[in-house]
Amino acid sequence: MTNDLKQFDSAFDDVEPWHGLVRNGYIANFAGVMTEADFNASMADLSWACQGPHTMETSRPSLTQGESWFEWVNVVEAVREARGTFVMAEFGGGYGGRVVNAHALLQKLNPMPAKLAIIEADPDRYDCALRHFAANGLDPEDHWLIKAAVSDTNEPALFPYGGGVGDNNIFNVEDDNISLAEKLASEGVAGQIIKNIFANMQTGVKIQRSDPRHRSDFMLSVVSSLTIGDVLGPFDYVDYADFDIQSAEAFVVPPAIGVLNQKVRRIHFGTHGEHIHGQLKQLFVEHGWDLIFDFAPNGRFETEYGTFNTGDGILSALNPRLARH
Amino acid sequence: MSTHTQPLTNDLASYQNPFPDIEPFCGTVRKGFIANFLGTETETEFCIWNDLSHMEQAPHHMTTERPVIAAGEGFFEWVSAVEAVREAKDRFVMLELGGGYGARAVDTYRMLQLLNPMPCKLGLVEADPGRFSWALRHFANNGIDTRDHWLIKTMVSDTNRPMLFPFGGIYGDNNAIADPGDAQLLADNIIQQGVEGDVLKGIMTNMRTGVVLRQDDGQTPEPRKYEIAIVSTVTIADMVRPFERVDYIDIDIQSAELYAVPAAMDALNRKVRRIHLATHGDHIHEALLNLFVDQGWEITFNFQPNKSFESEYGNFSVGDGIVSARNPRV
Repeated sequence: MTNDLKQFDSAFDDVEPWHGLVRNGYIANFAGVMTEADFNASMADLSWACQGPHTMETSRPSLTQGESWFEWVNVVEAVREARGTFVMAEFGGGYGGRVVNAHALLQKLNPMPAKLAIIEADPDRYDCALRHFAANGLDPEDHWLIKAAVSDTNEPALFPYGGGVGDNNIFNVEDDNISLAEKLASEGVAGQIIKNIFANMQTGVKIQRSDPRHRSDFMLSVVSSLTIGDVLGPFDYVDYADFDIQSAEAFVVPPAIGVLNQKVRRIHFGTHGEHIHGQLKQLFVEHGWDLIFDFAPNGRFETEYGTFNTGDGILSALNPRLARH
Repeated sequence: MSTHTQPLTNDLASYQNPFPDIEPFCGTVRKGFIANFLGTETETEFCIWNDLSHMEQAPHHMTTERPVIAAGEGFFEWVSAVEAVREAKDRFVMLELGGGYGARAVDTYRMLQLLNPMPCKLGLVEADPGRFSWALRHFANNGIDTRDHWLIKTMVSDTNRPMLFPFGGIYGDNNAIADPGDAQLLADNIIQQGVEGDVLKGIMTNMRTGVVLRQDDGQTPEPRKYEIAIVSTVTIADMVRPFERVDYIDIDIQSAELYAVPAAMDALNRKVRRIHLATHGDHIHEALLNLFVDQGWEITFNFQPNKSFESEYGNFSVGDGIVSARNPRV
């Protein structure tokens, strides 16, 4: 049943919230995962965590937190269901927050070997993921961190380096890209941009954002792209795939539905825009997936278990073809 | 007491008859295909070095033979593959980097089915879209479902930075423009011709430059044409890391081995049991040979490129050099 919040009301009851001493510059969550405060600096003022080692009491996730509660529920459910080896892929992985959380819960609830995959195009965030793994006792060499964008083809993508969380979506609208190329050519900088691209795959073009919440220091770069099928290719069974790829889900996911049907047991999307949310929901329903959570983006939802807001939409689904028996 | 024995390099006596338990294929082959001793069927279209037009007319009978050392590079590839297949346990993982149409992956798969059947994962990396589509066909033509394997349309490099790459060449021509000086000369040329606006538009819409290079080597009636495109890359480590163990890697990446392989040495040391490298140029051959020796690999074959060799087991010539090695840690 979709949005059966009652079913998950006690999802974390057997996880004792972590408490203890935290290193300077880090915060801890209820699973005991240590995260550099800098990684979330654009979302919240965490300067208190940078004054020295500090003690933290944590608490279980609450529905009122919105998106993150649903992510945690999916993680804990995937972990409980795993058998043999736990495989999780995080698309648009950022610093790998979700895979490292999953690994911590796996150790507590259902210990077994794990293979964690992250695909992240932004080099700074990719480096953050390496640090986040190491800070939590994970050797990246034992897992699979790929520095590339997720796309519908292997054609390299124009991708903005830098900026805050949520800004890094690949430039895939052909008309927009043609307009941008024509604008740059009319400014007489096309030759220099080609030289830049041929030298290091960076255009040298800075992209401005009008939204005051966002920084405006994006550098438009050319990055390698992998498809969802490419990332799932080495695996026969993926327990959980988490996607937060800033609107690219609209064109990246539909061509990959066959391989998702074949290999992925559980999926969770941060969706970006009502239209995209509706399209993906329809796609997964048509392909026989069981919708677990379906909450549109930028909404406010009142339930008997609490009220929450969404920024990204929440779409979680289970693949009944790959049910563990 | 350890039963491990270190192989001698170029111990050809040990490989006089490396395929005794493979009965060479004999039978009817579909129109437009040829078969090899394993029974692998290959479209004649893929065999661009040979005139096989007589096989394109109708189904035909073929009698094949086991490879012999006189076959040169092909013989050593098959030997490396068969040794990897015989040694495999439980699950076989092979990667073919610079895969072309996937000849080696498919042949190795056939050997596995014949000699040591077990679950198998084949990985293949090929940047040229034409050849990549050939690989899809070659797998399907030989009964291998590509959905169960891992074929990626990218280049192999030392980083994930995209590279300039010539689309449309034939074998041996598809090496990326890796030299920064060459890339800048190309950019200067574009600017001198005044087409930078169109080139930029091509790049920003589909990563194709529209720039066509022509090369006349005197071997083909018409100059060869290549369009410069920008292609995605993966590293060798990217390909190895998803697995706990890789039984066999075959690498033929047209000189890119010089920078792609050293960058992945830690991953190779940790997880790869056997490697077969085609080397392109004496200095590359020496550099990679020394690298693998320094890292403690056991060199099974070492033959420099573009040379003829005489042995009591047969004479042979190689174009690409051959470095085959196995990893005693794995």
